[in-house]
Amino acid sequence: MNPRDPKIGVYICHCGTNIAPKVDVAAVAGFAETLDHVAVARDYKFMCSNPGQETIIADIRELGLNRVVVASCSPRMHEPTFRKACERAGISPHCFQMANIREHTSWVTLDSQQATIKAMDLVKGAVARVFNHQPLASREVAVEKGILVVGGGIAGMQAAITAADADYPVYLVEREPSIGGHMAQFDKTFPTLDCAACIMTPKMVIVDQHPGITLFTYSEVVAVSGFVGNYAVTIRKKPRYVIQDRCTGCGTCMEKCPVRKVPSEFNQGLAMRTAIYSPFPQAVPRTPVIDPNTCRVLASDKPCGACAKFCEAHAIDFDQQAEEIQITVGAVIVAGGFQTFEPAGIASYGYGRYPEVYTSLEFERLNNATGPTAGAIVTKDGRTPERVAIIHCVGSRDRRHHAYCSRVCCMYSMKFAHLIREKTAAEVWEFYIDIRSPGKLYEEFYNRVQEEGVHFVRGRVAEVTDIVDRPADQGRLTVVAENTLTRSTLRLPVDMVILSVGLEPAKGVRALSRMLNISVDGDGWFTELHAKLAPVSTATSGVFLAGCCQGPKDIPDTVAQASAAAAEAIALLAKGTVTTRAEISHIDPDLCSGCRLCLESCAYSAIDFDEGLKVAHVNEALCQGCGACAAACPSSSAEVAHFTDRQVMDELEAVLSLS
Amino acid sequence: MKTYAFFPGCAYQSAAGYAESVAALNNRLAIRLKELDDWTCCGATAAFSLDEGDGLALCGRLFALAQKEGHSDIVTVCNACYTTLRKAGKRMTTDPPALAEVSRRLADQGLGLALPLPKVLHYLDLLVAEPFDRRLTGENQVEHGVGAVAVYYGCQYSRPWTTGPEAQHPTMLQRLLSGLGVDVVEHSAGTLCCGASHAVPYADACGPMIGRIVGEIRGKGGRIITTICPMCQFNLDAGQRGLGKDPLPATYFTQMIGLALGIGAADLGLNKLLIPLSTMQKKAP
Repeated sequence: MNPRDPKIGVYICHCGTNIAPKVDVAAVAGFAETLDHVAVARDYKFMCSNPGQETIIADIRELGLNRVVVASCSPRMHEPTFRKACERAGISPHCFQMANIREHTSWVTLDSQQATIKAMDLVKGAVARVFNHQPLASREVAVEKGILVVGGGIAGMQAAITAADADYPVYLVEREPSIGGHMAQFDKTFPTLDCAACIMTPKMVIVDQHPGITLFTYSEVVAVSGFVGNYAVTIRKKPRYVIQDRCTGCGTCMEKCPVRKVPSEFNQGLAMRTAIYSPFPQAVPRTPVIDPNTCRVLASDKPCGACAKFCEAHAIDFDQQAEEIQITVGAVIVAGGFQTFEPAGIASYGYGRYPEVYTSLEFERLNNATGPTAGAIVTKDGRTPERVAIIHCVGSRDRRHHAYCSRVCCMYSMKFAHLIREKTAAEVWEFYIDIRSPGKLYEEFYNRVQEEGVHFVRGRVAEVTDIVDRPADQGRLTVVAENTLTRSTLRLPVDMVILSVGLEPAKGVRALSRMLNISVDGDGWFTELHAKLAPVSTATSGVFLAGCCQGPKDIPDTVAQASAAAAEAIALLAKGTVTTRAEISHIDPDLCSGCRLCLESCAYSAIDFDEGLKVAHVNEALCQGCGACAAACPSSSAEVAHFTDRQVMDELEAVLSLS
Repeated sequence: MKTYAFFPGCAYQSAAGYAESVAALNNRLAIRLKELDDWTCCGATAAFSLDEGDGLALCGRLFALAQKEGHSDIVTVCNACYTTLRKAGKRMTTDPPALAEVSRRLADQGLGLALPLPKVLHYLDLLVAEPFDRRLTGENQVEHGVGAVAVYYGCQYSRPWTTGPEAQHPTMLQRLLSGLGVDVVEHSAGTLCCGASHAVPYADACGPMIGRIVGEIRGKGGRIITTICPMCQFNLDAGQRGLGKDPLPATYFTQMIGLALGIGAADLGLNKLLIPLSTMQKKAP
């Protein structure tokens, strides 16, 4: 191709009815034909379709085009499509440029004439830019095969097992003392009423015993650097004060510990644990941890050491320190999970003031065979409730808290209703806004619970109070609500209230998002690359999402998404290499003054300094083409290919020039 | 030392010992309140329900007086004044035409309004914040021998115009009194409505509301009710007639704090209560 003789083809897409009714596409094509070096300009209904691409290919071959501009949607959508078409026709994929006349024009402009003018300006800019485009070469670099999974709930476990089964070494990092996550706290799962532990613990054992999975519990990821295929990760292992290799998990230490009144996190404070503890009987690993805040030796330096005295394996080590471990992986799967909404801020529901107001997670523990009451549904003073109210949408679908629907609350609330009906003779009253039961066998479960005699009241609860207005209220709570179907108010004395609290992003999400350079949405959930077509990918290549950290979802969806994330990571790494970006930086040694500003600005450590020549040099294997060095360079010697000053300035000038 | 604009409101002077006890606390804690010159009624809930423009103008006049005297806060002692001023302040701050209209109506009095408007505080807000909270610590407390005290905030202090973490369920006065060694009982009637100005014209409807508040407090072991609003105090004090024997005294929070600080009952106007604080009088030294 002779760059002095550019022949440019311009293609204006109607995008069905997305662009064409707002932008006069024929006029834009007509305008493009008048521009310098444009050999042909056409408009077509769908440029991304096969006939659309074939038109470009035929023009390249028959008219000898060596540059192509497509004015259509965002390059994030279809740049790869058209670059491939160029390649198939025999010209460099980099001799292509897109003008976004959909997201940037037709979708955001009210006036048709203005939209057409803007589309013309953008096409003019793209033509001016593509004139300066040069063919670029990319390279294949080897990738690390390992995969880091952050979070050891059901999402992280599923992703880890899937990837490890395919022979990819997995490093699973969990910040709690055991893997298992929230699912380990549940008794039954909707709508099939499978025992959560029965389907969960086998997976925990697989994770523990899988030769391909290295498990880091009570650990956190503290630093990530590098790029797709080559991420360097620092993991901080908090001290357990118990030597894992020696501990047999016999549990004697926990029997002997004299500190017995620490509220159990796993049991939501409804039961007590010891200072040396394992969160639950099936915990993986079985090695307990010593809580440094309540242990007599660690917290107050008092003489105790009961655990050490009775440990036959000599596994207790009060001097254990945090440890930092470095690993290198090719891909990262984020499975950070969620936390539940804290309802004390909704004063009218009395959570924290009335002992018989529970969060749904507390009720999960109350109802659990390994919970504080061995699964008996009883009040704190030991009575079996005669009537239970379940309040939906606590913290969800409420602009004062979270506007979104948490998706799982309707179903788990009805699961609770079923279990209460099954275990006790209590009446159950569900107070809901709308019942949301879209899922396989979910609507059937809703019908079943209705047939079991559960009361459903459509109305948001105004207040829960212990004020005694009638003798029957004594010792009970009164739920005050409006039944919006009968247009009447309801004052219902109950013995127990369950708040169906919503889901919100887990603590630490922001730190993780900064470390991995992935974004979170306005509610704090991680943002997927594309809501429909790239649901487990992120904007950072090689980083994938699984489970609730991407948004509230139930167990079936979480497991499906985790398997998908593992499959995407495997697909990325299976080839053994990744194609590097062609759009990388270059430093002109003749212009470089050796100031080293670029070395400081480079986040990928991709710039070396040649002490002999006193100039900076870009390591092409490491450069990610972010452009930081080009922006920092005072002598304009650093320049990113495909984003040269000439290309960018010519495009800008054309867009802004009158005509 | 900062001086605060003080808006007493219409019910203050005739309230049973409120003025005396506020004055006693001002003196003890070195709180400097400057009563607004030429203040007028805030309009309470009545003005707004009849004519919003008039309601805004009445409140706007008070903000303008405070600005003219160079104050950045207005301190009130009444829930109705507090909620009305907060409502008007929010409206005028977020609705420029409303602010301009009020300024226009005030112009012939030589008054005007500029943003930001003075902040509206309840006297209670003042006591629980720096620096006065540091002067209300356990070190000052004396044995006063009154029975268990139930704090009654009333409805308008807690909603709908209150902001901050304790909105809807305030607990600061319980903490303040506990810190002074007062025996405080928790109950669930702290922010119920007492009927406010409807208690006189609609006594039949408001009687049960007052009865519900007193019944809940008595049921939880409260012996004395303490209030932060002249209307609430009057309703709970006068409104217990006809509710049967053994009524609970309804005091002002400033009187209870005064007692805990060792200020004499007479200096706190306690003799003005309809239901006497007899327990205290027998046991006090």
